[in-house]
Amino acid sequence: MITVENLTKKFGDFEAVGGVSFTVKDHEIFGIVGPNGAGKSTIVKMLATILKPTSGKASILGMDINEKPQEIRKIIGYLPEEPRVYDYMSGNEYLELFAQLYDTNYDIRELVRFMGLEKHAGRKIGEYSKGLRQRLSVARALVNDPKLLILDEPTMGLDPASARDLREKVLQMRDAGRTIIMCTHYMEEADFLCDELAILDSGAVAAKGKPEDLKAAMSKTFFLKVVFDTESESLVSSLKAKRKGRNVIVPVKTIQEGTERILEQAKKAKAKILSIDTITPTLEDVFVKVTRKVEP
Amino acid sequence: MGLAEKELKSSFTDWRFLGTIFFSFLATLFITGVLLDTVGSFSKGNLFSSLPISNKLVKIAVVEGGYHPSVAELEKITSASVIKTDLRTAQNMLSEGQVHAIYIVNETSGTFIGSNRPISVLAELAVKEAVDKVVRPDGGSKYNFNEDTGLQDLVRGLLTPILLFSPVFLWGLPIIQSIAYDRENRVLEVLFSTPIDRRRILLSKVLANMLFVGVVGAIWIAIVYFAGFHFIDPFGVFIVLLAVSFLMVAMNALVSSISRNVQEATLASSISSTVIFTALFLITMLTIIPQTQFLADISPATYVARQVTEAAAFPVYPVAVLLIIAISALVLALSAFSTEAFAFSIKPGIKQLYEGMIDILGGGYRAAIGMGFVAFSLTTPIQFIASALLIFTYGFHSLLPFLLVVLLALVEEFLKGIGVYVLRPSGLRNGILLGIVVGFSYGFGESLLFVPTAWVSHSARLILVARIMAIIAHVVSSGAGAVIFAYGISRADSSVKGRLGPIKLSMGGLWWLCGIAVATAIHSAYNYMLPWITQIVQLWLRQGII
Repeated sequence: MITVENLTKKFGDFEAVGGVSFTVKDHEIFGIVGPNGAGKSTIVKMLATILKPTSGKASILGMDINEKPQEIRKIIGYLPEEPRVYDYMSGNEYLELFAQLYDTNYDIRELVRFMGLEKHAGRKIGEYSKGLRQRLSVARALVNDPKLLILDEPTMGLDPASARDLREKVLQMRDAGRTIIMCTHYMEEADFLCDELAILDSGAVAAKGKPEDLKAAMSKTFFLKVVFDTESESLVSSLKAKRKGRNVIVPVKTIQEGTERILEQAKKAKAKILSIDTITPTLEDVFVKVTRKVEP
Repeated sequence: MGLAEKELKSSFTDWRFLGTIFFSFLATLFITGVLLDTVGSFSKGNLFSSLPISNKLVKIAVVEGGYHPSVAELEKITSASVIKTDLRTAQNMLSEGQVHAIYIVNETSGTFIGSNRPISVLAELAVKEAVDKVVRPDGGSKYNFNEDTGLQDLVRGLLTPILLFSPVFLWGLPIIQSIAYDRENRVLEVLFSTPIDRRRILLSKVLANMLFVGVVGAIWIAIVYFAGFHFIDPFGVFIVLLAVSFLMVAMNALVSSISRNVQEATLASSISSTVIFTALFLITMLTIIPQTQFLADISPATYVARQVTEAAAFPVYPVAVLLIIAISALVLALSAFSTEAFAFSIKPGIKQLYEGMIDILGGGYRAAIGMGFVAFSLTTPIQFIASALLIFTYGFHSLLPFLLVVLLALVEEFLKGIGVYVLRPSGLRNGILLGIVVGFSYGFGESLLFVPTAWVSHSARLILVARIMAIIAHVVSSGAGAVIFAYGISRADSSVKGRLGPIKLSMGGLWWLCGIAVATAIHSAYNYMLPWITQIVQLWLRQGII
């Protein structure tokens, strides 16, 4: 669906994006994650044809972004960081304006219903909460029934309930057959939503792949977190573990081997096991490692 | 059309703004009536003619050492008040501000003593008129006065266009809100992601605002007419009003496009509006001096002022120049829209704006034409000031006129030169052609601006030759500069950077500066020798050589 090859963007001498490459498949949610200033918004602005690349290529459904920007804009929906709306218009008027601009016959009422705006669409946007504005902006991005949706930090600044609701909508949009590119710096969100992602650092791709693959590649070692009824240090050293408060973190080769060893040593030390959990690396751990080059 | 409809709806349903416009109409009518009555009633049926205000403008103390007929002529001038007294009293009155000037006469001569106040100039003109009547009784007034209308109509004529056009300041504001607000709140970013071309987005806003201005302008002219201000050609005045309004809208579109937020845009707009209006109406005041009347004729406000008392030919060329300046401002605004700085609310520089013009106008020679007109528009106010100063300083053996000529030429060549620099000629031939095109469009604008007024004679052939001369001068100077730059970049390694003081320059940049210097020299020489060239051309025309 989307192919990006060595895409670069410079502003004068400053390189905001330096030679990024990735591929996005049809009907998937592709995440671009990174800290502030990593170049996420610059990349999506180039894909949305708002900015021209300094060098490199990108194509959306076979159309080059440099050669056919107008054609590309007809099939994409773009949600910028923070809602950009006209406060003096009503929700319906705002959506109708963009429907006219896209020259589309898409049913505005259907969009309003999908985004849960039925009670508010007749009111002035200036009276909306941030969550409603964001929902309206998503509705606006869908007004042309786009094949590709580009979302830049869609849940930033939303309360947890609104954010969760919006994430559900993103999954529904993917399931309806759209391809979605999403920028975020919330790792849990990327982990939950994205089928594949690219981690950016200072304008370059530091890592990319499926979230589970990225986490799996983090470390060959598993850990088990155990809580005993005793704080015996000899038990901890027999397990070659580390104590963190009440928890004892035990490195193991496999879950089975580890569990057997813990049970054996606990029996020898006459200690009771109160709880035992597995610890796997999170996407945040992956992010911290690749962007700061440190072990978590 | 959706965007234009939105803009129109927004303008016509903003009741507070419409109320402000209506209030400005009432305030302008009242102030106009009061001020015009200072110099006598405008016409019969004027609503404000009953206000009792003195119509004597200038007070002159006359010290008679003997009879001179100019004193009697001075007393006939209705706007001047003559007080006969002795010299000591007259001096005291002048220093205390009770009179504006002293006129000392005997049987054979007269001496005028003015004060530092501007109104002293009007007093001097009144005295000169009186003297003129004596010296040339059959020759008519040398200073554009006549006994029946005199200073009254002059001031009335000057005030009328100022007050008629004052509400235009307000009408041009909605586009600031439209563009700067959308830019500040990043709504434009969303619009740019739609299939609508960026140019169409801006043009929709401009079109909607012009429609708004057209409707409001028509209503204003109708109100003015029914209030008793009967211009001889109200339709012509309306067209001039529309042209000035279009200039306001285009200038506001430009300042909004290069400002970071609404506050900055409003401040920039107030400055640019003040400059435009002051320039337009100060120029009109040059009517009172014959040597500068040709400059006054350039301002459309002069046409409106004349409409008070006489039928005047519609100012086709001045309106054309206004439209060129307005379209140039619009092209620059479009160029700002297309720059990437726009997406990040960064202020684009003049070089970025010129680069944006290449995108907007499709590159190459079309962009060169646009850049010539933009350079002309940017230098027009400076040209007026320089021309007026040159008229009064020329012939004096001082450095000032020479420096003025060189400075003006430098500014013009620099602004044209940026266009050539940005277009980056690919070879000598391309460089010559680009320089010629930029020079041609600049010279064309200048020929419309200065030449059609009868600055030397009413000879149509001379006017045509003068226009061609203006174009040729710019073509030669720009072409020469462009050739040097093109030669330089074809030979120089542009990656080699040098320093010219604090400025970093590539070798190409240094050659560009050389080109500017040569172009300035050619242009300065032409400007400085223009009076002699004109005399030669006139001679050739008389002898039938051309």
